[in-house]
Order: sequence, then C-alpha cells, then structure tokens
Amino acid sequence: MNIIRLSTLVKKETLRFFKVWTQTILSPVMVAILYFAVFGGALSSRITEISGISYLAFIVPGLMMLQSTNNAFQNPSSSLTISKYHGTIADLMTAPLSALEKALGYILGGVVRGILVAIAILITAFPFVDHIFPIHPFWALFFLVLANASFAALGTIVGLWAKTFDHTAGISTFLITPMGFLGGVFYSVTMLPPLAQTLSLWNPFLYFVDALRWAFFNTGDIPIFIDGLVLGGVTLFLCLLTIFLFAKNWKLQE
Amino acid sequence: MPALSFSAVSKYFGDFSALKSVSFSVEKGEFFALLGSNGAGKTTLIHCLSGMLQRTGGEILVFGKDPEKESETTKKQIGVVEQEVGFDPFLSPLETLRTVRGFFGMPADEPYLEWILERLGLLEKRHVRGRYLSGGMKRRLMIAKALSHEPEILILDEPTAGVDIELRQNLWAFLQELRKEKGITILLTTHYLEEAEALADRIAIIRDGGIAVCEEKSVLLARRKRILEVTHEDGTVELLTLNHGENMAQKIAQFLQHTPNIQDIHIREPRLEEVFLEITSSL
Repeated sequence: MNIIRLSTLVKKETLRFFKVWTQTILSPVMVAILYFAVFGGALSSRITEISGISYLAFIVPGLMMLQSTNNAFQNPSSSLTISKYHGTIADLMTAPLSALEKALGYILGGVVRGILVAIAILITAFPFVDHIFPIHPFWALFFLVLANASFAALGTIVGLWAKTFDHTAGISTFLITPMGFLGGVFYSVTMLPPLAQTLSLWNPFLYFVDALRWAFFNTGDIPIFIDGLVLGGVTLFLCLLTIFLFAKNWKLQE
Repeated sequence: MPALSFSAVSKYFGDFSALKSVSFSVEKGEFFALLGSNGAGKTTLIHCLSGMLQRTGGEILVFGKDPEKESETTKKQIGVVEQEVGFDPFLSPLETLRTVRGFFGMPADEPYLEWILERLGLLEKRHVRGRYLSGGMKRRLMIAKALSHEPEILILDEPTAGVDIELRQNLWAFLQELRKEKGITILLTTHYLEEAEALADRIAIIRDGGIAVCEEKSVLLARRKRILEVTHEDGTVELLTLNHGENMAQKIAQFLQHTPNIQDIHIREPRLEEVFLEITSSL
C-alpha cells in the first residue's frame, strides 16, 4: 500500500466536504438542534425517563449515530456519482491506485466526515442536556468509527453502482433513513410490541445505536458483546466487499 | 523497443465490434496522430490503453510491458488527456494537480506544478475553484492534469475539440515545445486534419474500428494526388486533380489550352483533409 496515494485520496475526500461545510457539517447540526428543541419541548414531559436516563439524554447517542452514519454514507456515494458526472472518475482509473487504496480512501473520507458530525452534535447537545458525555469515551469513538466505516463502505458501493443521483437518493430514502429511524434512535426496543421487537433485531442499525448508548450510559437493551459482534461483522463484510468490487472494477470498466 | 505497441487489439461491446485487430506502434519521442471521424474507435483504443476499458483480444505494450499485468509501472508512464473535460469543481487548478500527482504516489513538487500552470497560462488562476474557469482554461487544465506526474508518454484524445483557433494554435505550440524540451512521446487522436498535418511525424487513419493507413506523414501526402490550382482574372479558383502516375504534363497542357484569362497558377500537395476523404471514400 502506497501512503501518498492513500493519503491523497483521503485528503481529496475530506477537502471536498470541508469546502461546503455549511451543507455537510452545519446542516446535520441544525437538524439535531430541531430534534432537541421539538423532542425536548413536546415529548420530554410525556416520556420523562427511559432506563433511568432523561429522554433528551437518551436520544443523544442515537442522533449522533443517525446523523454521522448518514453523512458517512453520503460522502463517498455523492463523490463517486459526481465523479461520473464530471468525468473525474478517469483520474481514479488511469492512476495506479490499488483496490485497497481506493476502498480505504473513500471509506476513511466518509469516516472523518461522520466523526466530525458526531462531535458537532455532541457539542450541540451540551446546552440542552446536562452532563452529557460518554462514560466510555474510547469505546464511543471506536463504535462510531466502525459504524461510520460500514456506512461509508455502503456509500462507496452505492456510489459505484449508481448512474444518477436518483439512484443514491433512492437508497438513502428507502433503505438508510428507515433503517435509522426504526433502529431505536428515539425509543428503547423494549417499548415495542413483541413482533416489532423481533423484526427490529434484524436491523443492524439497532445494534449500532445500542452500542453507542452503552458507551454513554453503561446500559443498553442488548448485551454489549452482541452489539460489538454485529457492528464488527457488518463493518468487516462491507469493507471487504468494497475492496473486492474495486478489484473487479465493478461498474467502472463499462 | 517502441514506446507503445498495439498488436491485433480488438474490443467488443456485446455483438458490436468497436476495434478490429488494430496494430501499430509508436516510437519513443515520436509525435503520432491517430486520425478518424467520430465513432471510428479512437477513444475506445485510448481507453483500452489507459485502463478505462478492458480489451477483448490482442496485446498492448507500454515500453514492452502489458498495462493489464503491470499497471502500476505502465500507468506512471502514461498521461492521458481525456476527450471530455473532467475536473473537480470544488478544487482549484493547483489542488487538482496536487491530487492527480498524489494519485500516482508522487510527493508534492510545487515548482514543477507551477511551471506547468505557467506554461499553460493558468498560474494566475491556480487558487480559483475549477468551476469558475473559462472553457479554454478547463481544456488547458486537462493537459496540465495529464502532465502532473511527469509521464514519458502523453496521450491526447481530441484535446482541441470545440476550442477556438487561437487556443488551438497555443496548444499546438505548447505540445511542440514539450516534445522538444522533454523528449516526450505523444499520441494524438483527432478529427481536425490540419492538427495531424501540423504536428505529427506519422499518421494512422482509423475507420470503423480498423487501421486503414499508417504511414509517415510525408509519404502519405506524397503518394497521393497533386492539385493544380488556377486563379482566374475574376478571382474564381478552379482545381484540377492530377492522379499519381498519370502523364501530368499532358494533362496540364490540355487543361490550360481550354482555360483562358489565367491570373495565377500553382501546383500544390493535397491537404490532409483531401487525402483523408480520398482514403476513407475508397475503402
């Protein structure tokens, strides 16, 4: 692996979103402020506590995971789709970047954006929620990195596959958003009826949110080692699949 | 060893044969023009060389190495100016060149990159986002990108399509200087016939995916017809085609006998356009 090639791709992918930081960083922060304001005002009087945690504090890890993974997905998917529009995909094809370098470059670019969004949302939460900070900060960062890597890998695969922005928007609307909202961001899975609980266990995002919630409050709906196994397994699978697809020049040499 | 060698290269898209056993080579330091009309197969051939497409059959060698087997080495030796203008609108020209150079694993070299930008008239715009460049500047940025990693072979796929005459002349001058100063090998595809005529040492004409002719430019022009151009006193111009091998003196004498009021007369070599039309229409 060539460090200059990899770092150049990561730098390009981060430079791209930094240049439009109002869309990429400020926008998810605004959404988070709206959630805190609306849910804090409208729901916190009805749902006072979940598992001994105030409702607003309860939704902070979920919101961090939801917004950061969404951004980690969008970074490579939009970058690759734009590259096809602008013809800069040729730069990637004519340069001697290996499949591993390409996959890591796009995934790490997404991870950097996702982590920055997560940190920005945590800082945004400070005025709304008292003493909100992870009990296990290292594990919080670790789970966020894994979750963002898996969504960035998914975004890379979708970016390779997509021919138009309608394709990426379709995946975002019909897969990513429902997965996030039905993944226990705003509720505990134990609050659901039995059938919905069973169905929710098939949603990997549930484990992502639960792992981060454990890192914040040392408590969760699912044993942490199961969260970790699902998170690690999904991330490994999607990252390996991304490398494999780049190695095959999937949807690139057409 | 040739800089580039194509042997029986074929490419199919489904049942459609885009390249049919294309064979020719380009020597080190040569300026080679691949001439053909739209859809003849020029870009497909370039894409098979650059890694954008996988060839169906045949062999391509870059300084004796197959790009599909030794891509890391061969990709570094080639700089490709794509036909379509492609740049990241978020990045400035200098950022674009740094990025492309980095993709080739080469450490930053600001003096070299600024030298390219200066030579292509982009130095003043080096910090301006790509989206704000004019059409001509974007074209020049494409050439700068291809040169950013100091390749030994420059492939230009219709680099002057749609640009004005002044810019075209400037680019021609730049390419000639580049060849002289750096000894770079150039493969140019074009359908601007005067471009190949002005720049190339050898010319291949590609038609329907196959090489119709591949010759030294002078040989290609010499073995073809001569044109007798007669200007009358009223300013009208009359042309007489003199075919290779026929009795030119007799034909000219007969023609002039029946052509009064001559103001000027001269015999010239055919322009490449005329050669091209003759070759392609006879196939």
